[in-house]
Amino acid sequence: MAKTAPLAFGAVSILHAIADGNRFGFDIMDATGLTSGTVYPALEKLESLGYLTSRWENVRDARRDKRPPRRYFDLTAAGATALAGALQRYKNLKPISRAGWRVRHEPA
Amino acid sequence: MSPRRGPLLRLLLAIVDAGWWLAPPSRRRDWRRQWRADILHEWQWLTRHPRGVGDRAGLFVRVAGALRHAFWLRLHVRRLEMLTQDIRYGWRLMVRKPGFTFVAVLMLGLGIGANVSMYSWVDGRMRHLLGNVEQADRLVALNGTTRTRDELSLSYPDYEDYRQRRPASVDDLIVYTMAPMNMRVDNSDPQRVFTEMVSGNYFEMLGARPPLGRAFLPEEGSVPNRHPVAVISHNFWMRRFAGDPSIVGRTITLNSLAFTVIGVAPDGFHGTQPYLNLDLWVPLMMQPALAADRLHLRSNRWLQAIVRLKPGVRLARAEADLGLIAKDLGNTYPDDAGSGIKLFELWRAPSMGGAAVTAVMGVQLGVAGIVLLIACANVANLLLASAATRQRETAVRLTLGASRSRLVQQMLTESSLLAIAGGIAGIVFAYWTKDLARLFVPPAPLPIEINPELNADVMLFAAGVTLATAVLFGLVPALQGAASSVMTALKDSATAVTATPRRARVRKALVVAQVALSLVLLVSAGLFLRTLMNAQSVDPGFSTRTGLAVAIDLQPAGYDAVRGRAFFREMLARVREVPGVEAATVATRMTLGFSGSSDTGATIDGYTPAPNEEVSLYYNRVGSEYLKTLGIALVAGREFTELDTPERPDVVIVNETLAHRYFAGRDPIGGRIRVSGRQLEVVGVARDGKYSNITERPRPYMYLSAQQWYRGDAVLIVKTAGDPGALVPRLHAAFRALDPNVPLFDVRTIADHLETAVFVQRMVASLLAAFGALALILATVGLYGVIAALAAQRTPEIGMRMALGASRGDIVSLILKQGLGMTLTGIAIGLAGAFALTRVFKSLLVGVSATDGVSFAGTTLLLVVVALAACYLPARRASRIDPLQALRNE
Repeated sequence: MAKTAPLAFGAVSILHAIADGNRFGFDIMDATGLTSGTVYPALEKLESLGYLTSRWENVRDARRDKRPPRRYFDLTAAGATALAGALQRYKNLKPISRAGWRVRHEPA
Repeated sequence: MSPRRGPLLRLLLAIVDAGWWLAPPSRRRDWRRQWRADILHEWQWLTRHPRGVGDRAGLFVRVAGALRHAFWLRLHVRRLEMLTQDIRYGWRLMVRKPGFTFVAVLMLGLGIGANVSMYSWVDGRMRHLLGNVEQADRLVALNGTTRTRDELSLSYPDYEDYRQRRPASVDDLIVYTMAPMNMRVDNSDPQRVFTEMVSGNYFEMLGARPPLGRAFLPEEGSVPNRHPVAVISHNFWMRRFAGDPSIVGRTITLNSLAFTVIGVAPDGFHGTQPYLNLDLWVPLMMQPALAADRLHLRSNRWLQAIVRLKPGVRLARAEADLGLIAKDLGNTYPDDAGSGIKLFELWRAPSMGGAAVTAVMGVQLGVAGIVLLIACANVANLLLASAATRQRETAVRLTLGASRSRLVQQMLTESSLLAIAGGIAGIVFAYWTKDLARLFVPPAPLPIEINPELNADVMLFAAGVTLATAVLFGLVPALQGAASSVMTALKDSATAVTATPRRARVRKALVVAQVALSLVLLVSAGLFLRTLMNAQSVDPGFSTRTGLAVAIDLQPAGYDAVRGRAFFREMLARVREVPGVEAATVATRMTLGFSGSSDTGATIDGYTPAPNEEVSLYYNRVGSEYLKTLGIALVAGREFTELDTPERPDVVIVNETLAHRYFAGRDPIGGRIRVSGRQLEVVGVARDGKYSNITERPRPYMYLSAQQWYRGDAVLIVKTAGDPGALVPRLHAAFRALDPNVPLFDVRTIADHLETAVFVQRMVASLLAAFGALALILATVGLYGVIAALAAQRTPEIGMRMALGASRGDIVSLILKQGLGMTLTGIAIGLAGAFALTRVFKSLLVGVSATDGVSFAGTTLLLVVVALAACYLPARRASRIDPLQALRNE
């Protein structure tokens, strides 16, 4: 697959946070320290690049918490590859075991 | 939902709701859902895990991001969706109307192609100022100045002083001079090569490190005659030695002196002569071994210089710093050193071709720009016409809720598609015409290289022009189309709508602009065609038209002055014997060549210069029978004979201008002129002529005796009775008998030589004529299109007129009048524009003023005739309509 320009640090830290188990907008902001105005557009962009997929939370789970269902994000296989490549360059991100990454494999 | 939904939370959610309008419609629902859910979740989480006092206030900062998110979506997601939609729609339109698309793309392609190819020529020439050097922006040319001149070269002692005492603003400087030499490799035939003799720091300072071998070492640049080494160019290495890597260490013979090749310059580096591809470089220190020593004469200004500024230093600052040294040198050596220096950016440096080349490049780009403007006006007109027929579609879209800005975007997308197609066509045209650049290489005996390439720079330029074009021709029709009134458009029939006076006005204005622009081009072309005709008929001051000019150089064959003089005497004697030769002579320069001119300071007995006046005389060294050979009239006295040898008194022939200016009221014959410490007696007065170029004014000129002022290089000039071509083999035979080591090069007829003298004028004239014709065609097509459309709109009116008794002639003149009105308006504007613009290239004109009446009137007439023809066709068609039919349609 033809790759676009290398990911910026912000995007990498977002992928990193998601791989680490932070799947919702505000959680990602807490994990990365980035502002909401940066995180949400970046999520859209990463999704359009195919590095993330998003789904709406199961309605029943949300009901139980008495709130609307949230949109949550998963790393795709392409995203995992991109993240692994980027982590080679950004060495100051906390190393996390790739085995522990949450990667969602699209059924197709 | 949460039972404890306080005012703070409600405020947060209200902010998100307010952002609803900001988000693009297709994503609004998801956007609000996501943000509401995230806020509520965070709120609950904070309720369960309180962090501190300000935790909820911090939510506001986060919610501010919701608005940014919405805005981002608006910019990115929506635009992309629309863009693909618009592109698909635009593509379908282009395919559905192939005729329209073809004409538009063709016109844009011609306009863009003209610009791309002109730019690639200019780019090729700029690249050939200096190729493959480091940080060329820090390099500037240095010239010596005196009170009245600012283009002087440097002497070697001056250079050493400047370099040793160079100020902090100057990194380093180099000097160099071009020297054609004869090269032999292992007993091969002598081959003429173009070399530069350069200071030892040359390659290092330019940043051109040889990838193979090495550059000159410090001692090679400082000890005279000790190190016969040479660096060869990559191009020459490939061409002459087939890229053989064992070249380093090989011996080559230059002018009968053995040199060792020590390195190959980097690919793309071609030396410091503008537009030339040099073959090799040797240290200046070898100069005394190759010719009479010039290294130690401060008065001998023969070296060109380039300065590398320290990073961040401005030219003016370095000029001031170096000026102090120049002043100091001028005080120390009042007779020899100049009084100052001047720095030039390389592109306008006299040593790099200077202002004339820049002017020609300016004309090229300007002319191509005008053609593109005309093409844009034309396509804009086409689009306006098609917008008229699409008015219903526009109106329907507006009624269905499309915003006007959306419609503008869509139409701009369509015009961008056309522009991109035009850009591709333009690149194809530029590629096809790439080799035409060769026609514009001056026919000089030099390795000139103007190599237009469609490289990344040019492609970037093409993309930029294409984009600019899309906006230029797309904006007006787009705004016009979107501004149409919904009601009228839906109500009325298509033809009636077209007649909205505003749209017609815009279209007429575009045609007027085209006519005006093409008139500017045509007038310029007219001026240059007249210039060319004048230049060809200018009297060059000599009458011989059948003959040959042949370059010879004895220096490489190892002749000294005594043997050289004997050779030339013998040569002339033999050549004059050859059947068909009427006369023969030698001269250092062929008059009206591309090789520049020499001048020298002089004092004239009996003439007292005004204060601040420097008597500086241009001169040529000529042999016996020079005036007879070239057919220059002798006004008084005699011309040189074989008897004017170094042993006899020094003699000089002056031209009429010199005689009038410096011997006013006296008989110049017998007058005395002092040059370089020698006293010359005037023995003859020759008629004035043109010496360097055909445009020059009469100037004082003198002929020195070639025997008395020996030089090893010369041009043999032969006057023949008939076809000079037949003489060439006989000349070659004569030379082989004289000395087989002396090659003849650059053999050309005098007629060919005269052609080269009008080269610049011919080049500009053909360029302008070609572009002028293109502009005329484009403008005619535009005029025809608009007149035809306007006539079609007036069909009902014409039908009515005919029904009421108007004759066909009346109708024709009705339509013609409309076209003529536009044409005349355009001509008025164009004349004013041309009047203002043609002054710019006044310096390139010969024998015509920039406001030449014939050129202005002639091209105006041409334009009127062509415009009338373009209007006549639609007018005739309009006059043939059937009034019944026309009225029934109404």
